[in-house]
Amino acid sequence: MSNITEHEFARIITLPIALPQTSLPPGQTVAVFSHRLSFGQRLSIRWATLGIVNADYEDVDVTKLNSNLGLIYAGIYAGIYIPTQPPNGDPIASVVLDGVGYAQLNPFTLWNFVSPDDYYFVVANNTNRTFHAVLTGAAQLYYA
Amino acid sequence: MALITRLQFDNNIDLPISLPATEIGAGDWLTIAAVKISATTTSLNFRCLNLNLLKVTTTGGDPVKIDASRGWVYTSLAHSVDGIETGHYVDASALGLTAHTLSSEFDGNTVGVYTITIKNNLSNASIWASVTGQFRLTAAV
Repeated sequence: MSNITEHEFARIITLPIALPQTSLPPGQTVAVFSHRLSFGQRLSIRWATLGIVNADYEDVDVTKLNSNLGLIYAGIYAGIYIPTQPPNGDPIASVVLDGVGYAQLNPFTLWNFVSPDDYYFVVANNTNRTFHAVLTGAAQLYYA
Repeated sequence: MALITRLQFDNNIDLPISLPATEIGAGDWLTIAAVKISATTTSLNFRCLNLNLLKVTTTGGDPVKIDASRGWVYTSLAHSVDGIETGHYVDASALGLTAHTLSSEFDGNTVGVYTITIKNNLSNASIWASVTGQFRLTAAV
């Protein structure tokens, strides 16, 4: 087991991925985390829990905008994010929910990003109904 | 190079600076985070802040800035309730992500309140922005 120096510890930062309970209208996406990763940095994402607190879709047919994903999902994207449009394609990693309840990113699968780029964590309502969602997580940033 | 002890590790905490995508009206501002330092043995380290300007909606014409020396929107670190700026800020005059330079650190242990605020510096437009960052608080060992 290796030890960590004061210098190394000062270069490890925990960044929040947080969305308090928020009403998401049909097709709405919310950017909850943004980070510009530079050369020599590593962004590590392991913990994120997404919840649907309540929804108004009961007894109503729900149509998904992207059939690959859940009713609500939280996902990591890289590159250009256009907030006025649904995210382009499937996220690099995601937490999906198909009903009221909670789900988490698999904490045993560490997502490490080292390519210099802009990284976003968005929560998206993938349906034609309104949902109330909450997201709590953290990202670890390592730099030289 | 000194290794950190368990006590040193326990005396550190990372506090979130987090604003999910939010609309801010023309000339309006929001306090995103506030940290109170009540003893000089506690220090605050600030270095990481990302400002993501998502959308600008003007009421007509080109955006008009209130403070000409700043961008359309800026996020700044200030000290005390008087809001004395520390000189550490991130501003943006275009859509997209702008980041505070990690190597430009601020260390403060002056008793008082440190705040992170976001200000819409446009008099004729509302903006949508999100912010992600971090403070590290360290208590003296």
